[in-house]
Formats: sequence, C-alpha cells, structure tokens
Amino acid sequence: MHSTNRRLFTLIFFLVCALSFSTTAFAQDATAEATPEATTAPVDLNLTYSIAASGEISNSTVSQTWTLTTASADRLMVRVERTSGNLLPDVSILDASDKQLATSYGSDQTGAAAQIDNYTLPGAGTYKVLVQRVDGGTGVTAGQYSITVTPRATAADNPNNTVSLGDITAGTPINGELTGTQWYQRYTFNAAGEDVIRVTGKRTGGTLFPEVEILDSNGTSLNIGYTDYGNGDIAQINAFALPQAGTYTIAMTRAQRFGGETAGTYELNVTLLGAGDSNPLLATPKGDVKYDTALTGDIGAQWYQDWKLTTTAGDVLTIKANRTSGNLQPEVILLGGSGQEVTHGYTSNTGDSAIISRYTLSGPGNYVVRVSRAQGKTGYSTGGYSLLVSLVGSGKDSPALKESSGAIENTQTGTITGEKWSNIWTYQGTKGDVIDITVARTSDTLNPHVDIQDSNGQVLTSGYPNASRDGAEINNYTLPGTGEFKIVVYRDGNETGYTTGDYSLKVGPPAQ
Amino acid sequence: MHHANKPFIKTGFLILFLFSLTALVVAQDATPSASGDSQALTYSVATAGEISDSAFSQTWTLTTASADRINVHVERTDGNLLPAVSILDATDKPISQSNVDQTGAAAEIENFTLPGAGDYKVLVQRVNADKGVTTGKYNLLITPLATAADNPNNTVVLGDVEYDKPINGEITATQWYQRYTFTANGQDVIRINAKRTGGTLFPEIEVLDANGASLNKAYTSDSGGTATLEKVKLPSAGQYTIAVTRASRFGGATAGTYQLDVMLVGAGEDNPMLAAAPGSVTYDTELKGSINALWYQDWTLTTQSADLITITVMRTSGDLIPQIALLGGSGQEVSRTNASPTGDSAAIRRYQLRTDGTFTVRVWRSQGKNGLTSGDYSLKVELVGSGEGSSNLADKGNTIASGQPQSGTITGVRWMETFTYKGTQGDKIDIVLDRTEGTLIPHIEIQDSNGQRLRSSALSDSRDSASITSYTLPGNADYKIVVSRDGGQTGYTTGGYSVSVSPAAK
Repeated sequence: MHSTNRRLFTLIFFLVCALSFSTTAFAQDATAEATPEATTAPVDLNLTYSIAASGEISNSTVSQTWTLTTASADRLMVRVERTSGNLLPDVSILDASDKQLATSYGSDQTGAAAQIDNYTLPGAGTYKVLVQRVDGGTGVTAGQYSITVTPRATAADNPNNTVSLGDITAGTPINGELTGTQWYQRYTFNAAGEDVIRVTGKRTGGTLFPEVEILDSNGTSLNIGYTDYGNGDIAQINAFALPQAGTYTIAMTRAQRFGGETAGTYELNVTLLGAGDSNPLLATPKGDVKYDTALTGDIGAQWYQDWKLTTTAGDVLTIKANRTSGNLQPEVILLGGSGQEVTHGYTSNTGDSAIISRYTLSGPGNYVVRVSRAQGKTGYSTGGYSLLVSLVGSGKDSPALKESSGAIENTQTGTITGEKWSNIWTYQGTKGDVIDITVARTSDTLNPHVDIQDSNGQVLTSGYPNASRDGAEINNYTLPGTGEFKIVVYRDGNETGYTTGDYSLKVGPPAQ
Repeated sequence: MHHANKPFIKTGFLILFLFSLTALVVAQDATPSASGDSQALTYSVATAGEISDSAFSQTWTLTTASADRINVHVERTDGNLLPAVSILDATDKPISQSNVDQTGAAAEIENFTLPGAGDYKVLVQRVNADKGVTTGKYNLLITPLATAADNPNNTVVLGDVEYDKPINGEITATQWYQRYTFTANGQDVIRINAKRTGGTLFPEIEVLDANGASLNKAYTSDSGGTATLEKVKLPSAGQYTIAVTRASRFGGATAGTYQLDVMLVGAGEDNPMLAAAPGSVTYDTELKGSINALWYQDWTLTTQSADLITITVMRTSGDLIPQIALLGGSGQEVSRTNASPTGDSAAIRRYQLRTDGTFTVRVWRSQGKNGLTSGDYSLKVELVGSGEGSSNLADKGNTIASGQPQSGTITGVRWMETFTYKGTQGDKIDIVLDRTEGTLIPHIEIQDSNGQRLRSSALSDSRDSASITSYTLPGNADYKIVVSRDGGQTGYTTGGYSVSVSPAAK
C-alpha cells in the first residue's frame, strides 16, 4: 500500500508538472496578443490630453494599452495614426474592469488611421486606451503609430469650469480664451445694490460662438445671453436687474457648452446701467437748492440725483430740469420730509425737459428735489442737465413777507416779486383824516392790489383793481383812529399770482 | 307836371343827401371798432401793432397752404393793453379765440389746427373791445407747430439717398416729413438708420413704395436719439421713398438735425451686383473671395468627366459664417451644405458629379441675403477622383516587362495607371503590386488588349499589396495591367507603388 501510494503520488506530481508546463506555454502565447507592459521596454504609456504619444505594434506586441486619467466625465476624441509600416490600427477605450466602452471599429477608409470621434466618458477616473492592429492576434500588419487624445469638452463639473478666474468690475473689460478643456469661465462680480447691468461677451479670435450667464451666489442661473446668430460673434444680456447687493458670478461660455465645438479668445464686459436703490452711489445728495439759481448735474448709472431743498414756508415753486448734453430724458420728482413722492414732473413732449409747475408746498421743512430719467433705473438715456427751482411765491408765513418795506408819507415806489409778493408800508394817520391810496404799475406785468390794515394787521378796507389791471385805489377813506396803519400792496392771486413788477404808491388827501 | 315835379325832386335829393350823410357818420363810427390795416402775417415773424381808443381792434391776414397746427401769441409791449386774440374764417366767424392770460400782458391761442388751407383773419383787440379801457402796443407772432401732412414741404422730395452716403438734414415744424428717393437695383435687403445730431428730435423713419404706400416704419428708440430699420426686404428693384420724420409726426413737438444712413445688407437675387462671377475653379487651387452685401459669389467649375470632388470653404477674416452650394448646368441646386459647428467653414465632401459639364460653386453666408456676417474666405475644390473617361486617366503608353518592376503614384487625379505587357500564350505569370508610400490600398487588374477584364487581384490582409498569381496568359498579345486603388474613383487612398510581373513561382 505504501509503495502503491508512492507511485500514485509520483503520478499525480508528474501530471501536475505536465499541466503547469502546458499552462506556461499558453501564457506565452497569450503574452504575444496582450499588452506589452510586462514584456517591452519602459515606455511611458500614460496619455495626456492633446499631446501626441508614439507606440508600435509588431507581431510580438499586437496591442498596447495606454492609461488615461481624467478629472471628470469629459467628451473626447481619440485618434491613432500609422506613422510607419503597414499597420491597420484599431483603438478602443476600456474601463477599469477592461470592459470596452467605445471603439473605432477598426481603421478608417484609408487604413492608416483609427478614430473614436466623439465619446463622453462615464465619469472621472482612470481609463485604458487599447491600440491594436486590425484582427488583433490573427492580424498581419505592424508598424509605428501616434496616438492623440483631444478633449472636445471637459465635464461641467471639471475644476477648470468651476473655478473663479478672478473679479470683474463694471467698466473694466476682461480678456480670456475658451478652450475645450475650459469652456466655462467664471468671474466674480460684486454688486453694491440692486443694480441693472449689461453683460456682453464678444469673440476676439477663433471660432467662438459666445454665451454669457449671470449666476447668483448659490450658482443658480439668473439669466443667459445667447449667441447672436446674426453674426455669431457676440452675446449679450442687455439689461438685467440684480435682485440685491452681493456677489454674483458672471460666466463666459460657448454655444452648446459641453456639446459645443467652438473655441477662441473673447472680451467680456459688464456695464452698470442703473445703480440699485440701495447702492451707495445713489445715497449722496448732490447739493443744496437755492431758489432761482441754476444747478448742474449728470445722469448715467447714477440714474437720479437728489438735491436738498429747505424752506421756511409753504412756498409755491416751479422746478425745471433741462437736458444739456447726451440724450437724457429728464424727470423731476419732489419728495417730502419722509422721502415720499409728493409730485412728479415727467419728460416733456420734446424729450429734453421736465417741469413741476407752480407746486404749493404743504409747509416749511426739508424736501428733496430728485432729477431722474425716463424709466428710472432701467432707462437708457444719459447726459447732463441743468436744474432750476424758481420761487413763484413765498408761502404766506414766509418771514420775507413780514418784513416792513418802510414808512410812507406821500409817495413810495416798490417792487413785487415772487419772494415778496406783498409789501407792508407803515403810515402814521390821524383820526378823521380822509385819504386816497393809489397804486400804479410802473413796470412789467404787475396787477396790484392794496389794503389798509390796522396796527394788528386786520384789514380795514381793500382797494379794487382798475379795469386795466395796472392799478388799484382806495378812495376817500376816513381813518378810524390816530396811530400806525399798514398799507399793504400785493399782487393779484397772492402767492399763486402770476404777475410781478414795480409800482408807485401814493397816499394823501383826496384830489379836489 | 314838369314844373310840379321839380320841388319834389329837390326834396328827394335832399333826403338822399341827408341819408347818405348819416350813413357816412355811422361808417366813421364803425371804423375804429373794426380792423385797422389788414396786413399779412408770416409764420415765425413777429409783427407789431397798436390798440388805441380809436382803434381797439386790428385784423391781420394769415394765408396758409394747408391745415396747419399753429400757436398765436400776442404780447403787450407798451401801455396797459389787456390783449385778446381770435382767428376768424373767411366769413369772419371766429374759429378759435383767447382772452388775456393771467399775467394780463399776453393772450395765446395755444394749439389750434386750422380747418384747411386758405386765408384766415387774426383779430387782435383789447379786453372788452369797444368798452375796454386799455391801450398799448403789442407784438403778434404766429408759430407753426406743424404744417399739415399734405403741405408741399412734407411731400416734396429733397433729393436722392444712396448706400453709405449719409444725408444730413433738419426736421422743423414746417417740414417734419422729409423725403428722399432711393433707387434699388434688386430685391435688396437694406438697413436704414436715422440719428439725431442736434435739437430735441425724436426721429422716425419710413419706407414708401413708388405709390407712396408705407412698407415699413421704425419708431424712436428707448434712448430717444435714433430710429433703425434693421432689415427691410424691398419687394422689387425700383424707386422707393425713404422718409425721416419725428415721433407723433403732425402731433409731434420735437425738432432738430439728423443724419440718415442707408446700408445694403444683402443685394437682391436680381441685383446685377451679384451677377459677376469672380472666376473659374481650378482643382486643388486655393481661391479667395469676400462675402458682404454681395452675399454670394459664384465660381465656375468646368469638368471633363463625372468627377468626385470635395469643396471646402474657410473663413479667413471677419465673422463670415460660410455655406456652399453646388449648382448644376441650369442653375439648379444639386448639393448644399451649412456651416460647420464651429461656424468658420463649410464643406461638401466627396460629391459625385453625375456628368461632365459646367457647374457653379456658390459660396454664400448663413441666412443668405438676410444674413449679417461678412468677411473673406478661401475656397478649394479638390479632385478626389477623376471621373471615368477623364483625360487624367488616359493610357500614357507605359509598358512593363517581366522582371522589370515599374513604380508610380496613385492620386485622386490619376487613380489608375495602365501598363502594357507583351505576353506569350501559355506563360504563367505573377503580378505583384506593393504600396511604397502613403495610404494606398492597391488594386490590380489584367485586361485583354480591348480592355476587357481577365482577372482582378484580391486585397491582402495587410491592405498594402495586391497580387495576381499563377495567371496563364491565353494568347500571344498585348495585355493591360491596370494599377489602381481600392474603391477606384471613390477610393480614399493615395500613395506610391511598385508593380512587377514575373514568372509564376513554382
């Protein structure tokens, strides 16, 4: 039995040896068909995008496996081209488990090249690119080749397409270049308010069909400007109102993005069309209003300018803005003490002016005269303007109206203006005296009225204007007491009156 | 009776005299209340007058050529006159009037449209007329706010406007519609722009046909300074009117200077400008051209045979998005291609002409006549494979003998070469064709002296050689050994070769 076992053991050992020998022979056969890494010289079989690499297929090395590592699910082209010999090339892309993902299906119709034209990798990772000859192990061709992997588009989540390349500021163009590996270029834009901006992307070289996009701070798209296919070289978001102050991304990309084929240089511009209401640019008052004094300003991205108006009474005003340059279509707005709009003067029919005519303020206080443009923040017109706030008539409580014009004995001359549309003269009278008071216009348009008041300002009697509206008279008035009387000359309509001018005032006994 | 009548006649004469005297006195009374001299007024020219107690009204004459919209302003210049003003028609019926304004110094009829062309009276008087108390001098000014649309000023043609020759003009209230004649040579697509250069003008533009019917309008832009018609497709060659006007036209209030530009976007198909062919195509020779308003260029291609061709056009400047069309002998389109995805090139690849003859290679732009791209291009028509019967493929009388290899090159132009071999009946030969350069996938054939095929090669596995082996010649004759490429005329490969004939290997 022992001897039998030994024989059996020897037989089994022999069989195992024979079997392993046979396996070794198979492996050698297989080696000729498989990749050369284990058998050939130390060739760097790593592929880099857009860099041609060289390889060789021979009867002993019927295939070569290259390694391609990608950071994202890129779309690419693989091209193998014979450089010597009679090689009929074939190329495939394999995943990590050697499963074929894409193939050229042999060589092309010239027999000299094989190409995987447009393949999107399933994800980031390491892939194998297998170059072999047509018919592999049973093929008959051999020769050298070059292999190039050209990225048509890196994936949208590739770091190249997600990184911010820097800041962009309004009015300062950015120049850049879009390529297959970086077809989405981001710039950070800081808005100081709910600004209205224009974003323009323009091709400056290459084939680029530009697109522009505005993203919020979470990366959500707010607006896209597509290629203008009229000429293909520009994309624009004409006027976009940012929702709030903060950080945005302005992106330059190409038509069809990941699926696009164009590339080239560009210029990207952000233009501030209208500052947001919260933009500090708008916060600074332009200055103070002085009645009947021309003020000047400019409307642009700062689409309104506020002028401070302080009044001592409920004055009657006319506010007028005139364009002085550009294409500005001005508007004027009067704001009350709490910033509320109290009246609004829109652009005139001629487009170059706006007026708030003869507006009566509710009382003394601080107001704002705002010069703006048609359509406000989203308007398109810009330019210089002149602003004039005219005092039509001082409010009744205005200190200017309380000042005495002086004493009168016989004759005086005076002037009625918008500011002083009423003149108070003092007259010393004696009880029982009978007097005539005569006012006559001596210049301009004045339509005068005249009252005589007691020393407290109570009206004793009023003179009637004459039919020609250039004079007024109080005739045969008997003074009720001795002392100071007030003779008040004023215009027809008081603070809302239309006339002004010089006058002569005569007080005396009635003419015989 | 005669004598008796005399006192009666005297009495009647006296009565008549007294009556006429009374009438004269009444007329004199009436004279101060009526108009003074009825002088003519001129638009925009101030006229001075005076109202007195003896002439408390004055009547002026205004003659207009159309139903204009006007402003009448009277302003006191002296005295205490409280003026009032009226417009009267030919029957002295007031059709508009204004009393003195709130300053007492002026009266104004602010915005009145006359009922028609004709003579009108403008009556200036004092408030309360004969019962009024004021007097003084005044200025009277008639300002036209807009002449009527049919006023000659608005209907006259001011001249011609031509492509790329800006016109400078001025819109006023009396001439707010300015016409220019434009002559189109075809169904052109044009761009028209009017731009304010001064004043307050809100420009508008209009295109009218030869009958004055409106074809298109452009309104004032948001910025107020321009009006643009981007693409006007004129319906035919001929005369048009291009008008510059203002927003709201007759009712408008703006005026000012402008610049008018007309640009040819795309010449009409019938425009003679497009008719001139830039030249003839020579195979494999780069040609250069430009596309702009002349949005296509036709190149003449004359072929000797039904060739296989590839036509490629590449943008070389500008923003041209090129396209290509191939037109047949009667101008029919036989093939066309759009621009590549990159927009800078277009290609008709490997197109097989159906016949020899004259063709047109048309290079044009995306969107054709309506397109906006322009620029230079290069054009190349490659002969991929000469057609059967082409002189390019003619037998050059090459010979080959056993043991004396011959070499040559297969190209698209000459993708077939014929060698004459003098053979002897019963000889058994091998014919071997090897690629020596390029991509050539060779093919070989032996034909009799009439060109009838006797045997063809099989393609080798390596596709770099072809051979006919152990072929026994059927007679004493000249044989044709035809060297070509796989696929013949429509093949893809080219390159050098070596061909040999030898006795068949044992």
